Amino acid sequence: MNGIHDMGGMHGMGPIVHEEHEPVFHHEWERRAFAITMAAGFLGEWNIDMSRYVRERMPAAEYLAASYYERWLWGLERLLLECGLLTRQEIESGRARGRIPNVRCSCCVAPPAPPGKRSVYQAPRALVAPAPRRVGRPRVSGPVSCSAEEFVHREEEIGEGLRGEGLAAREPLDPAIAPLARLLIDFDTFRGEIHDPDLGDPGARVEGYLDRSIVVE
Amino acid sequence: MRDHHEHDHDDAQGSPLPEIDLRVRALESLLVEKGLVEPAALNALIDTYETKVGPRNGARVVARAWLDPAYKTRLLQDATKAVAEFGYMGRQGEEMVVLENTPTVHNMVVCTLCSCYPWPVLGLPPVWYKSAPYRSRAVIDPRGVLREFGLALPEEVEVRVWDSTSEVRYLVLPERPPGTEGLSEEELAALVTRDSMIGVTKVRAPAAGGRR
Repeated sequence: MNGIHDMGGMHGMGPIVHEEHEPVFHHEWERRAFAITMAAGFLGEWNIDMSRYVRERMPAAEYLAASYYERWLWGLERLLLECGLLTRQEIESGRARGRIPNVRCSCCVAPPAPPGKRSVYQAPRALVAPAPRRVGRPRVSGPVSCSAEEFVHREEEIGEGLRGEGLAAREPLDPAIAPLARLLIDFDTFRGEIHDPDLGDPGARVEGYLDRSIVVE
Repeated sequence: MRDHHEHDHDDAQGSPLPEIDLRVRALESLLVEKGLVEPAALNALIDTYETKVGPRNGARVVARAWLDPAYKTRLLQDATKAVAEFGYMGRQGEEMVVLENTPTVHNMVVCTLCSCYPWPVLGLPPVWYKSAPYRSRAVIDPRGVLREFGLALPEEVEVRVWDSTSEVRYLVLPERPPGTEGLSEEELAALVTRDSMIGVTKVRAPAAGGRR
């Protein structure tokens, strides 16, 4: 994509400012913006190409005026919106609407790969979305550790008529995220049949997400 | 909402926070409330990249390569694997390449499109590396850029500029400075600066003093 981000060879950008003993972050909000962007990346809804591309869509004038982590924030808000994890209303108001995690939209089905790795995109699936937490056990259980490198596919029975599938990390652990090693990352889908009439027509086929939070063991 | 404990020291009563600060706080609390991110994970991420992963990692790799020819060979053949011998791996370093500086070839690294950088060995990139002036000029006027960093290379030294991608990240193996014979790996590592591993400066001998 030809855009302002493609800066190689441009003239007129001024002198390079080199800061002695530069801190990793200059403001508290940069720390937080970095962390929420990384943590949201663990959800597996987008990969590195998507997070770069979204920043490259920033209007040129805004891009030039923005600092690095302002661009990250701008990109994160859009990824969350476009992947259906948050609504515009939620972002604008800063308040969650509804207690249940939003079900991702069928227009944006991200690859089941850890951020940083490319993978083949899946075809969008039709979604029927009963309240995920009320179907079966909330999470696929099992010993899981977290690694940026490799994820293994798992599938198991998660409730009556429901099978869950998802990705779990495989050893060895990534030392860069060793402090997170005891955190479990769920990005599990479920599919099966509705039995509880509260959730929909009994016998209807369902498919969706169980949960996608990061949980401290 | 639990665990919302961050307060800036300059967060005086009544003084409004900058808009960006409010936007980040709002988004963070929203993500936590929705169960999309876990506060413990946020703090662990910040701690990791602020205090644990940084250019000291790369400096150890460089020092070992200076001392151990077999390690250097492995490093130049497959940097990702050789770097992992130290346990350094992961995010933004899935595929690393080490570029050796010699008396006749000087390598420097840029990411013209954004900020790609080998996190496992250098940590998060400095502001200047991510800035428009460096990204735009490194590829069109590398010698001029190097001069701004205080490095004037003779014309006969070939300058190679490597533009990083999200898939391949480069680390420069700087030249070992003269006068460092007999130094231990640790002492050598202490001489290696972040900027020398990006390739915008050289590593200076310990007695030389002066500019970093």
